[in-house]
Amino acid sequence: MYLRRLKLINFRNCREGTAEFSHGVTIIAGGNGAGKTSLLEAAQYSLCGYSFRASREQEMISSGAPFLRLETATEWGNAVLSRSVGLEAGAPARVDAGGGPKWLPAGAVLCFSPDDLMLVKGAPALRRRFLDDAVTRRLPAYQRLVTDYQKVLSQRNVFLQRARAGLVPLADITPWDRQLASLALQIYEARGAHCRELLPWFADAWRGIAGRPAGVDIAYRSQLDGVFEAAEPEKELLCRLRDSWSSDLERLSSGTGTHRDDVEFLLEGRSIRRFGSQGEQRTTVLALLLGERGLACENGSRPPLLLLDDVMSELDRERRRRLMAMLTGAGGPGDGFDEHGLSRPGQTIITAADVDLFSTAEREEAAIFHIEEGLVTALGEGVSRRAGVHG
Amino acid sequence: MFPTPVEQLITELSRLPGIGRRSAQRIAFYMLRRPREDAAALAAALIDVKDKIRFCRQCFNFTEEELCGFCRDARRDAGLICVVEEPSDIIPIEKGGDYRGLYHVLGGALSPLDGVDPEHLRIQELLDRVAAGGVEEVILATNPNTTGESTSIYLADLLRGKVRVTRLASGLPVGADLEYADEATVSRALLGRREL
Repeated sequence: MYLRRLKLINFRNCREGTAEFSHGVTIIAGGNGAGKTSLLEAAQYSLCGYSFRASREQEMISSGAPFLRLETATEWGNAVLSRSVGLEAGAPARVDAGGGPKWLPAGAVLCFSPDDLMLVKGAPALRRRFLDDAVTRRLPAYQRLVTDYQKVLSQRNVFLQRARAGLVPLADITPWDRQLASLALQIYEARGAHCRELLPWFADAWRGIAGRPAGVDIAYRSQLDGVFEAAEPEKELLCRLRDSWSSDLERLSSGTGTHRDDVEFLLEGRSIRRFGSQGEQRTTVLALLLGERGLACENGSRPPLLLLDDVMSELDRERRRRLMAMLTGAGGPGDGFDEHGLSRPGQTIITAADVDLFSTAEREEAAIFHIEEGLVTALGEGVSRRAGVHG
Repeated sequence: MFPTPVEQLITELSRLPGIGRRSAQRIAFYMLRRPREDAAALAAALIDVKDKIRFCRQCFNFTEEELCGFCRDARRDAGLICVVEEPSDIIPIEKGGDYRGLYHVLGGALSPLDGVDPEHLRIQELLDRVAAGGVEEVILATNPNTTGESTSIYLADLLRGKVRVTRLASGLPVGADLEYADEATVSRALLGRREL
């Protein structure tokens, strides 16, 4: 899937504007408050139905306007689909998907904004979510496991309350334990396998951005660790669940299962979350996104669209250069080539306060446009060749 | 807004499943336009169903008599019991036409979130039926979702060793294209594949 064109009407500070995107890298330049991030947000919302920064959909409607409307042209193989999303105050979004899916699945668009350092620094739930989205992109049936697991877990927790109130004997928890165990084992295997497959891509991308050899690792940690070493993993897990009955009953929550999983990123064996510098943490998140994209390319799923908000200003010149090289597919180690030898790094939209952050050669490679007061104008050579922009 | 009897009817109707206030109004006004006999027929049917229909003493399906039609039918195989959540679940199985055994209606599925514990279902009654003898196989036909699955696991644990226990298979709908099956169904179908 490529996002070819996006038309915004009454979206935040943009009354009306159209942006056209390159198949490779598109740079959106503009000063603070010009609407760069809003454009990325509009791209994400129009395709996925959620926004990385709005807590309520309604706040995306320009102040004073009765509605917002986003029109996109996307390429799916040889077909071009026109879709539109309309939103007015007090009503759910109206979507005309033009024959495509109503919303793209989670993980089809990967977004990095300065806040996303939380993926490394924040709560484990964020990393589980990222991992689950990545697995779902490859195994759509996985989503069902996760929702069923959540359902069984809530039932089990309520069961604990009822058992403590003396309404039911604790031993009757077994049906929920058995389902929890069966689902947890499948989730554990899928998450573990994904981490193992992602690792070489992540490591390549990490070294690519950092420009130095580095021993990075993805450590998937779960309470299920070691369970597959038992002769009968399911029995082993059921025993572990049974062992936690009394403590579960005390806390009225389930202490054992994949809902406590976490992923730790390591640099030379040390936790990047605890010991890494800001720069190393930022590199880690970017390497995760690029790694996911590289892996997606390799195993034939569609490379996710990358939306990078203001990452350049935080990186030094060398890292910027190397990141751009990876994004444009110019010798980036994480990016594959198809059977025709054509680079296929996937599509990236990147915002920057200043185009001077990019070298002349990089500007040649990318489509650039300038945004001011919500008005988009074309800028630079690359634009006329690859994409056009109309204010 | 309306005279009290109309308001009352609307309130009563909107308590029905799937009927909101607006639908309740439509039905109320429709009934107002109809002749008195229609209203009387509907009222009589409602009273009738409450007076005459009860649960089968053996399987807890709906019935007019002491025993339901399936339990009374001597041609059906009393050695087979198919356990379902609700009476309405019997309909698709009967339509299938292959099942010649009896039923047992649990009256729901285990769900702590909804306050449904084993004692709220007709589980003891099922155990009594099995204990009474003559039952060779219990087929668990609860829904293939988390609550139905838990109910089946719970029952299987209780019945194991006393009688043969089986579970309905999950898989692809017959006559449909593989292309349109959802991923979870395909996964289950693969797990449950069999030799040809």
